[in-house]
Amino acid sequence: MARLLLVEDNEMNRDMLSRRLRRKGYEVEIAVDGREGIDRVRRDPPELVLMDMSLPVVDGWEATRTLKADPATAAIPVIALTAHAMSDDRQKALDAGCDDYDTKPVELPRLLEKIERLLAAGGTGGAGA
Amino acid sequence: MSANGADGIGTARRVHPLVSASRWLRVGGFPLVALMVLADLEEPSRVALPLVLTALVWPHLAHLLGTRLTHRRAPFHVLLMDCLVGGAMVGLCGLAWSPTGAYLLVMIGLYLMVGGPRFMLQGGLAAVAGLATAAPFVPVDAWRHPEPITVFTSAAWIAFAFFATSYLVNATTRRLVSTRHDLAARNEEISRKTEQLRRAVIDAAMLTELARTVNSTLDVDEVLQKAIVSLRHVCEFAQVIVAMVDDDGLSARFDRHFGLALDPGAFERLRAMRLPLDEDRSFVARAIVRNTVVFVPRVGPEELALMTPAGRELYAMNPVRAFVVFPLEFEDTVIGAILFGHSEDALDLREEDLTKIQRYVVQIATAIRNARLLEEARSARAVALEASQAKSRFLANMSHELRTPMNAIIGYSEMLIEDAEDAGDEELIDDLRKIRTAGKHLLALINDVLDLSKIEAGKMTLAVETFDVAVLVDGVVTTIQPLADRNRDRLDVSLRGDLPTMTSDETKLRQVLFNLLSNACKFTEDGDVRLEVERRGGEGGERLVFRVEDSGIGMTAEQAERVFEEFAQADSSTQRRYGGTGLGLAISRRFARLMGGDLAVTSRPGEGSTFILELPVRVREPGPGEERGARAAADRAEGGEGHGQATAG
Repeated sequence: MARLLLVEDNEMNRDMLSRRLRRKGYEVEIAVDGREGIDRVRRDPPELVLMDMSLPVVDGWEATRTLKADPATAAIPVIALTAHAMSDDRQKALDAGCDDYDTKPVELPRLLEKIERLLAAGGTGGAGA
Repeated sequence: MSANGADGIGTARRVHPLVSASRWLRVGGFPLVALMVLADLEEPSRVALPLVLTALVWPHLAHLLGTRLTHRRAPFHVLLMDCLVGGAMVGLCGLAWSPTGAYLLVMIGLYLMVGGPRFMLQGGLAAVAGLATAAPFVPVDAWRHPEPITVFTSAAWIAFAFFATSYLVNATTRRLVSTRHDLAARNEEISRKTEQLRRAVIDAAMLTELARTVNSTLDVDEVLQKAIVSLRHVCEFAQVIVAMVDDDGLSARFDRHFGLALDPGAFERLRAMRLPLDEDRSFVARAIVRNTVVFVPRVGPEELALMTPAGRELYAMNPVRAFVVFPLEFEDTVIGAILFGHSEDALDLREEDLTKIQRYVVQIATAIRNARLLEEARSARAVALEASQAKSRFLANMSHELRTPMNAIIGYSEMLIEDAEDAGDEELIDDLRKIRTAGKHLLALINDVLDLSKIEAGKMTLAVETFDVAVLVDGVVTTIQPLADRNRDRLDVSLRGDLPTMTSDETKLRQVLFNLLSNACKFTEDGDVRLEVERRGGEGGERLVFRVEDSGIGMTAEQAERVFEEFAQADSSTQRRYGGTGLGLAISRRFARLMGGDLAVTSRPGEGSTFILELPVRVREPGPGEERGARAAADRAEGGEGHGQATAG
């Protein structure tokens, strides 16, 4: 099953979401801030990143921009997790280069659908590259 | 007669000077002529009676004629008659050269003086005519040697005429001189009044100019400068210093100055010094405490001794020879004082000068008051803005802080539901679902409150994009279908005609439609929920009308009226039964207005409700109250996209 990186600073949300994803069969790596997220992606690239936006040290938007600016990591799909479904939050996330976004609290079936879609698309993209 | 009939209206009839003078000339002159004639005649008894009668009666008759006849030349005509009558009297001498010559000489001279050569000629002719009238009745002997008595009377006659003439000339000259003096005095008075008027006009013009400046600028320094320049026609002041009463009312401070050659640091030092108001020894304090003008015509050692340290400091920096302090009064309160300093020499100001300056001081007080009010308004606005921003920040932070634990509650309860579903524990599933539902409700509330606070703070912006209405409606209906199914409602969608692509905020429109449809489903059981979308043309561009109609419980007119207010669900039992935050419709209407449209409702209890959302196909930016939107639009306009977009809203 696919290997995901969850970048989330809130411990409970991190624990809850990672456990629920693992139950669905994903391999879930953890990072607690944007800096660590970038480092982990560079060291050991996952197949998809779930990125919280309000993160300490380096925020989610900045981290996404960094990853998308680097040719080595640009192809890895990033799903933004925004706190509130405000249109400007969504727009900001997409502007930063996120491939998709979802709102917290996550509705797991919807999130899983997005993950699967991106993994499928990313798989072909990766094969082409 | 009227001497100057043209302008004699309303004045007493005045006798022509010639007429009043000729009266006593006649009274004296004719008897003399008679005497002269009688003295010359050899047989005076023959004509004595008519001669004496004529001499006595004619002067009065002539005067009567002179006063009765009204035409302008009347006095001259009477004078000519005098010549005629006199001539006839003298003619009785038989043209003897002595009396005749004396008579003609006097009359011709007199008439030349009175009426010029032309009148002299007329008088001469009249006299000759008179002589000719009498001559036929007496033996003519022109070259008869005169008797001494005749010579004497002739000389007396000439002397009389000479003195009378001299007197007349003197009187006339005197009158001329006094008239000239009169005129000179009047001229002087007129030029004095003109000068006064000129000054008053200048004063008024300068005051008006100053008042205009006061109304057009909030720059007190500019007003002070203008006042000093305007006051130059009253007094040359070198500087103005304004002192303002402190907020506690116990002291005052020098606040600003104009015309002082001071470096800013020096005045700052001065500004920090208090002018105590508990005693009115110092001049500025006295003006403020007693609300009176304090005039110091000459600054001497005594005056220096009375100054406060601040005043002495000011004097040391800028010695003045004289000054005057006016209280600055506004709305019956003395808010400060203004000092006009004069550095040339001692100052001499009269009461009227002070009154004049006072009028300028009133304008200056107004200027200072205006500047203060503006300052207060500015700081009040800044405080209000700060408070509003603090509120917005607080709400944003709080909703974020609240959302994080809510996420955990909802997430863990969902996880547990999955566990329980795996274990098949129905009772636990039910309880856990209640926790999740309550959590989601709370979260929805938090989100709605945040939305509302963003709208109120004017921070809600439109994310405008172009999208397909049919696709949007399709998505919303798909999301709503489970809700309709739950209440066994039939969900019917009709898209009338060819729907255009819309340029608006898709997310907000989706939120509004979702809200309206979920409400309709919520309040309808075993009924119909219809969504109709229609395109409408009209003034101000094309519009789309979304009608959401249900056959649900409906509302009374009163309930319908309040339905767009925050937390205005029909009643609290509705909340318990149907759920919802009570903010959805309030937010929906505001979103609709933000997008340039509106949201309205018609409803009948028991029959259902119809919500009508009307939106322009192309949103016009910026919307009302959209500060950020407006700025963004302005920025775009500046960026070269033209003004149409910026001004369209």
